[in-house]
Amino acid sequence: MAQFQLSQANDLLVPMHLYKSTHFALDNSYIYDVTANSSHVIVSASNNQIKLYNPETLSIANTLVYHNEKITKIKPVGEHELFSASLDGQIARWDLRTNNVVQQFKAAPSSVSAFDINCNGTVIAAGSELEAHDAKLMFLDTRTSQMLASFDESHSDDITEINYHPTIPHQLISASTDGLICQFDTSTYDEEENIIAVINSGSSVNKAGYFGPSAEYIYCLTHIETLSLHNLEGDVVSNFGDIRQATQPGQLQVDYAVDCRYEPVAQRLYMLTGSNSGDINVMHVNIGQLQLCQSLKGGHTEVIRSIHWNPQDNVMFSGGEDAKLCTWSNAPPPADATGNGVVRGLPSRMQTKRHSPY
Amino acid sequence: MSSTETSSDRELLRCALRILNGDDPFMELSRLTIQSKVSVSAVRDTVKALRTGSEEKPRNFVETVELQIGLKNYDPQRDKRFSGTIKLPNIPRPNMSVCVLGDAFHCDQAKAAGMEFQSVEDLKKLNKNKKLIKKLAKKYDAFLASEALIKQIPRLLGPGLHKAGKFPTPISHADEITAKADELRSMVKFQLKKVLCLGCAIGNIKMTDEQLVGNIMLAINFLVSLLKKNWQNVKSLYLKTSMGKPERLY
Repeated sequence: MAQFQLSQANDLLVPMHLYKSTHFALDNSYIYDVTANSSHVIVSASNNQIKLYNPETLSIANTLVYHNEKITKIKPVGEHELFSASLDGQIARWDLRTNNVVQQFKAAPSSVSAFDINCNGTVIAAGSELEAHDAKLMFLDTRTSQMLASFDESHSDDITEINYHPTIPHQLISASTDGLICQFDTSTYDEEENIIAVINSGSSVNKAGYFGPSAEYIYCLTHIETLSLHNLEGDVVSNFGDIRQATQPGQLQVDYAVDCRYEPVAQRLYMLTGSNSGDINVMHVNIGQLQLCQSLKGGHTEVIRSIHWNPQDNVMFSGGEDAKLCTWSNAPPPADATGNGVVRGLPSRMQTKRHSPY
Repeated sequence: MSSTETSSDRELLRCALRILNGDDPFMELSRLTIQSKVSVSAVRDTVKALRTGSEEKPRNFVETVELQIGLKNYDPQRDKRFSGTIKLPNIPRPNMSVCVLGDAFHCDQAKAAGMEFQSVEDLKKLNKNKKLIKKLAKKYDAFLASEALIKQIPRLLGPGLHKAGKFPTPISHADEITAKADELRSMVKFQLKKVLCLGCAIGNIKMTDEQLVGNIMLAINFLVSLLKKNWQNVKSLYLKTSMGKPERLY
């Protein structure tokens, strides 16, 4: 018996369909991470490359090569910067105007399995895998690259996710395969004093993040495909259990969760799920309820690893183990394969700048 | 093979019964599509072989029974993490020591149930002394904590229990304390690190054959369901006691 009610809600989202797709590479790469800034879609993959794409045509604008080992996360900051982290123990800061690494942050010999930057851009928090009995949570000054502090007691296994609070620059959460989501207040760095609250998922945490009108809740997705929602004190607000129970054979296949996304205008939490054959199922999450908003099919053929979606924009970019990058939109797909169709569909800030003839 | 046919027939019959009982026919059909490649009787035979091997050379401790899964068509570097916990139907570690970090209500319940416990006052007395907290962490295998108390743990103990991997599991006043402790004793962890082999404790040699079989079937079906290609990702299955030789199951 599922711990939630499943229903359909076709009217919450403007229906999207496959707008464009491309292959990251023809070498059986997996796409790991898909993100975007105002001018490019930015994608990392298992061949240790990062590519910048034109969001309308999905043509490659640039390829960034730097890391020697698996790229664990990429995060754009502002219009022109990108941070990338790797198991090689480095975090690179890129200037996307010159496509050069302008700063390096060294966590080595620890690997970097997760990281985030605080809302005022002053500190990077980086998490490591378990190495020599330590899973480290490290804090780095973005201006000087210096390590401000290193916590090695808070987690006993690989750190899988770090998220800073969206508006409080010294608050963050870290999640690990040890099952814990730790909330920290790092106004001053003292591991004995900084832990505000701990959520014990009882399993192994895959994704965790703040959501809510004032980021007063935390969602938790585990590697055994369970979803739970908590308040900042750690209480369980809703426990959905195994979300694969939403599967309706022949109609809806839910094999895993990709991530959650919060839409602040309508104040809705969405969970993006996928099937092993490449379907994307967008669910609206309510207390004890999952509502299927839309299934996006025909884009991917393998497991989907990352989705970049701003619900307000009606544009979604997805990447998977089939090395495909797909654009989903409510705009009619371009007239021909080279994307020479009229640029009508995507919101104007996603389009590349066009020369004004007047 | 006749044993496979019989177990398939039994499974079909069970599905039919569930449908007659009102369960969704589509769900039951889907259950059949990830048809288990391992029959109950095959598991039972392997467990018997395991037990024979263990009895030939008895040890002076209770041997753990472990399920070992060899994977194929799977890349530990690139594929998604394979990690989590399973709740087994029969307690694999009955001797796991559980301590209750309780409010007044739970301390009373623990006392009545003969369980070890620590109150808020007891924890305050540790004075956040790292050595004492480490000692507490080492003394027990796992902790339960009252919901109200669990919020105070960061302040009372800092990260002292985290490093040992023993952060408490919350209990509410509505929970039955010994049942919750048994729930903890039923959970086993699994994690695939950089190699293609995963080991998962599923019981101990003192359990009955039926109990072991029950745990093994559940563990196999659950773990296989998490693999993206299900049985196509499984190369081999072995059962092993702590000191014994592995017995091949699949």
